[in-house]
Amino acid sequence: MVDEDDSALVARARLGDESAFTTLVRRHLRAAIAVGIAVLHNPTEAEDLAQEAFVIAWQSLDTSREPGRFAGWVLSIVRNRGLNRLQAQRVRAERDVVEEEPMTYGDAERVALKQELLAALQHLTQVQREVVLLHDLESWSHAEISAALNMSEVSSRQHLFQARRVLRGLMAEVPNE
Amino acid sequence: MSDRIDFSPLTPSEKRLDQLTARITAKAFATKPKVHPVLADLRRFGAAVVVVSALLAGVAWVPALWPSRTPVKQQQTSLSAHALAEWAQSGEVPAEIDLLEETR
Repeated sequence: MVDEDDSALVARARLGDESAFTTLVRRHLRAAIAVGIAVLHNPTEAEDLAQEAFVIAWQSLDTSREPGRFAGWVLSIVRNRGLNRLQAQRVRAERDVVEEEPMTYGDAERVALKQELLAALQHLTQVQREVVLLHDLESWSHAEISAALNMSEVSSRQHLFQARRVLRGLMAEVPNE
Repeated sequence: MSDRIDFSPLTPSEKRLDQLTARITAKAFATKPKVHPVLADLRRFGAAVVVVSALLAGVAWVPALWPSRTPVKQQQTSLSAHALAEWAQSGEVPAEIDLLEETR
């Protein structure tokens, strides 16, 4: 079965089709969390932020003028809401997020690497973080990144190059695919 | 070898993503009721209907801006109005024939 594109899903969701919106959420959730991490430097907060962004997107689906650019729209909501949170320096104490995934023994090394990655990411600009996370984590193409982040493909490549250079310089050992 | 940096430790597991998706949709659907298809169509096409109606009204109204090219008919109308006004002022009902004569 061919996957429906975002415009068709948005059109159905606007008519109240909840399954269409669920598909949109599942499709773009990882990218939304990636951008949340780029802004907030905290995966748990990023998940919370992504949740908030999708709820807002559902509530204002009718105002989305370019249904085909749903991903870019949601990412911009994540970014703006995240920046607002940072600016207000108001991190919600009580979150209705489900508990964090429980850590098992095998996760210890992974958690250490996670902390190392998060620390290294803080040395990048926000745009560099977004580009490198969307490209290397979400496997987005430069065309997709440029469309979602409103930049040229050349800029996207430059940001990726710079980000990788900084990260490799900071991290003693960076695992590759 | 790929140039990619492995950020997988930062990503939630598939199970976690499923949980989050369920949580998001539950929260979202609780905040906004389902839109009835008819209402959705009205919302979608409402603006277009208003525009078309405005255009039709404009088309019907514009000719009235120019002087009438049928002065005879206009005169007949004013004569009828005159007859009726006299009737109203005097309280005398004009003969039916007169009124018909006037309006013919």
